[in-house]
Amino acid sequence: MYRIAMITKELVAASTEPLILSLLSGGESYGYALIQEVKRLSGDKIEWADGMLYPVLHRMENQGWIASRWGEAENGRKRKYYSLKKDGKKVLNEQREQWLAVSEVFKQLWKEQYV
Amino acid sequence: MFNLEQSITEWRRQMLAAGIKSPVPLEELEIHLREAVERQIQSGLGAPQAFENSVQQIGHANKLKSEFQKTCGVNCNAWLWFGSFGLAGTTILNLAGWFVFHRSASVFFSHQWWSDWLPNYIVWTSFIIIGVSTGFSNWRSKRKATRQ
Repeated sequence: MYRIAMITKELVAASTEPLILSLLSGGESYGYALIQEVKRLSGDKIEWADGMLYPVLHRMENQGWIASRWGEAENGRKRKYYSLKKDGKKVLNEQREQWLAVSEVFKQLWKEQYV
Repeated sequence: MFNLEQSITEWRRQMLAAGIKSPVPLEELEIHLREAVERQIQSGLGAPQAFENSVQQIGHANKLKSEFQKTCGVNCNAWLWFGSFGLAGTTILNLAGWFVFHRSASVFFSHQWWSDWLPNYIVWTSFIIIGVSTGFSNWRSKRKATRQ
């Protein structure tokens, strides 16, 4: 049976911050939803260890990239929402350029080699 | 019989024992755990299995603790604020003692000043040093992360 190749731990770690920034650029969100969204968008190829997301979110908050607020979920339960700050948008733009540059290089290389 | 609330309390106790003592991360993790369990139960899994899966997915307490330590706690600037206010307050009181109340112990570098006032200055200055060094270390990691 065909098995989906999971993305390596190193690549997942390197892409975590730009992924969070990109997800939050679409509007505020919370930990559980961020994890599910990444899982869905990657077709289950990116799987974050749930608990590990929160230290990253806190670090990004300390760095001034994102902000947080306590809110209430539909079921009345407390929930912490994260949103993108101005500095975060700047970092996201920088990181987007870098990832696109890398992606472009691969595209060119593999186009030449395999097509 | 499996009791979800009891299991969550036990999980929380394990987290505390492993050193995740700051209320915010622990509360956030617990909210996440409850949501993950709830969703899995809704999708048809039994409560014990849903709880077990969610705990595993959240990860081991020791590993989480070391990750949270890298975020430098709840408020990195707290040391700097405490230190600055403490130092300013001590200086004001010291000056008031000297010029307003004419207390001999408040005279800078007098015999009694060393034992009465210097410890205060040392404590608040230490707070400021910790705050500045933490801030510097954060600034460096932020700069590094931005450049990466």
